[in-house]
Amino acid sequence: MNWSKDQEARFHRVYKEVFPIITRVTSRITNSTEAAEEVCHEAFIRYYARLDQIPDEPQAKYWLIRVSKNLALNYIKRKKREKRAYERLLKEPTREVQSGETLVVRKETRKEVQEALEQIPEKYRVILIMKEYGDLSYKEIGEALGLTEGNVKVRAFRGREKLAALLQQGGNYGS
Amino acid sequence: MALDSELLSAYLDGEIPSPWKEQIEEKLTESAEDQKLYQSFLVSHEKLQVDRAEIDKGIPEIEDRVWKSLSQEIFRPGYKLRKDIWHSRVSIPVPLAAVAALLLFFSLGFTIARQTLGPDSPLTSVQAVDTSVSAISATPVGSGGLPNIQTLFSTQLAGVPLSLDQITLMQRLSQSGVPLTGEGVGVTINLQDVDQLLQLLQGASNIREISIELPGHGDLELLGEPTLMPSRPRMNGQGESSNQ
Repeated sequence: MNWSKDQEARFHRVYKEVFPIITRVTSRITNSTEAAEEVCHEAFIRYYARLDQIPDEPQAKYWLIRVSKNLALNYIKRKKREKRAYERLLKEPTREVQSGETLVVRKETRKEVQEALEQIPEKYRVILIMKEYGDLSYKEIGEALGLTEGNVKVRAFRGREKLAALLQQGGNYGS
Repeated sequence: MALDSELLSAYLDGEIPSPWKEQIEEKLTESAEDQKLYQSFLVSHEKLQVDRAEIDKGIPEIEDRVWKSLSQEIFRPGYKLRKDIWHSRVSIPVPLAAVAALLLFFSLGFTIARQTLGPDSPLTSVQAVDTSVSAISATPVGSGGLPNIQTLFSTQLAGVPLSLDQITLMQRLSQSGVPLTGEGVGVTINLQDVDQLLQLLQGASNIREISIELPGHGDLELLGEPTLMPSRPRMNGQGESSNQ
């Protein structure tokens, strides 16, 4: 069974509007564009199956943001489990090869940002990523995650405060 | 007075409307402490924007690729929607739902009542189980009516030793004068009258099933389901008793 033309047109509109947002957000959560692509694909498949249940476009946007965020977090948890299992199998932790090239890459802003974000607790990190990469207002983030605007504001501040401190430490270390 | 750092973060996020936004901007020009904090926020914001711009470069390509994949997968004719059975809605007619609710209510009530009344209650005693006894049958061996009815009880234990419950039962029967004879694991009980039969039944609370075949000429009546008792003398003078 397929949906009506109107419903498919709505699906396309939502796709055009929301896809870049959730791709940016999930890319940063997973640290991988390939994983983000997989997550976004799955999120839209799920949305397509519920086109009749989510007729409102803004609600569809919040729903997709929430689902893709959860999928991305599940993805990184799964990856961590796989990594731990792999380490147990080899009976020694995997180490990054600290080549000269890698050390140079570490100084790059993207790497620095990625590493700093990874150190921030999830509840602050997700809000900060949604704000910075998704261009979402506090109200929209609250709608998507079921939080109050005030709560989002506090979490965004905490995340930013920690990020600023971590980047400052990294900057001092690098200089 | 220094600005609240939470307020500065919200200002950076563009969440402060006029005229407070202008007031914060004015304060920022006046306070070096506020400027320093704001600057640290701004630096991290700009670094995130650099990272974001890098991600943005790849998005159009990913968007096209995912759209093509979705089109091939879901827009083709005959595509079956993946239904999530855990979150799908099921419509049930109200009468059917009411009947289901009543059935559930009564079955739950029955279960709770059974548990509350315990194993000695009339409801459960008829289903008390002695697992070591596979079958017990009662066969009348006497042909006479009351009070000289003789009933043969034989237990078939299939080589399994008597259980503690059975020994207790045998002791009770022995104390009450019921003659018992046993061959190997089998036990034969001869009963002389209905009183003994009733005594046996009372002592056999752990026996799951007893079937009693009444004598063809026995003067017995069944009153209610489990009660076996002598019938009242017949007043109409008829000699033949009815078989039950």
